[in-house]
Amino acid sequence: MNDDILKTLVVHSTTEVFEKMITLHVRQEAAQEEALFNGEMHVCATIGFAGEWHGFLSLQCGEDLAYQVTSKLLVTDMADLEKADVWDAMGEVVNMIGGRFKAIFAESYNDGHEAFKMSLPTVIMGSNYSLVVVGSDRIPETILQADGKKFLIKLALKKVEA
Amino acid sequence: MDENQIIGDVMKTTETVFKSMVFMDVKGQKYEEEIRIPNRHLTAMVGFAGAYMGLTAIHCSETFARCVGGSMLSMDFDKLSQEDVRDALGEIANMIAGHYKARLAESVHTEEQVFEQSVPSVICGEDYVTHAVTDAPRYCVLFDTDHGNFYIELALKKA
Repeated sequence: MNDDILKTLVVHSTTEVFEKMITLHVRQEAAQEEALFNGEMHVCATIGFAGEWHGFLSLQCGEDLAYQVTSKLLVTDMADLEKADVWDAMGEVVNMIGGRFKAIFAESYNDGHEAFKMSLPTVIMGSNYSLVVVGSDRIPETILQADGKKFLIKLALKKVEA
Repeated sequence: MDENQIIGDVMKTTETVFKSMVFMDVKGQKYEEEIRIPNRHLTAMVGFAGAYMGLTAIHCSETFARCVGGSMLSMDFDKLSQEDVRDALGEIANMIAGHYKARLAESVHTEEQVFEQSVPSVICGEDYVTHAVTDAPRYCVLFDTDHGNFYIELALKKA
């Protein structure tokens, strides 16, 4: 599967979820060499895909955007949010993006059949960490922006060898 | 399935994988506190989905992960690259999930596949925390070895 096709599908899925569920407009940004969250507190929400195809989706964003997204999703003032709210909301967001991607992928590239099921989301929070997918030299990634704040979407997807 | 059986299965699975792949005898105990590992550490996770869904994760210090990688690859641990260490720990997480799958199928008396695994991912850093976002029960086992502690975490629910 061509990386560009996967990127297009995941950007479409992310845009839909942000615009419909979080009411934040999303814009694609140019790729950049330097790390996006160098030493800053950031959140990474991940979900695994397992089945005929398997893979991994992650959304990484700064703490400020994570709180903003949570506030909009839960319709709660940012000042009233607790860290646990952010964990849950960001897990839910990556779950929704994964779900939307799964539906579009099945429809467009798997003859309408379910290509994979999704595992449970995991959220990582910290300022100095990196995330790699074992067996993937490079995970296709796309930088997006919502309300002037950049965030990163990574997607790895491979058909399971019979 | 009761909690003791699940915890017991996680212990046996981990003991088997460590004995056969890392050539290390390990013994676990149920752990109910928050996992906190000082300094640089790693977490390798494998999600799974199917009739049951969840994830397995191994959390350990970088020193312990190097020890695991060195033993698996028969190399001096100080000669391993970061990538070797991450791949080795990801493979351990993958094998624990795979062995646990077989035990779970036995426990629920089915010959059907109880879940399929996603690709392993590995987090490495100094000050991060992980949180499985789920209403599924979470089980954790602490393993105390001569080379340091490590933790196996399992979140599991019926789909």
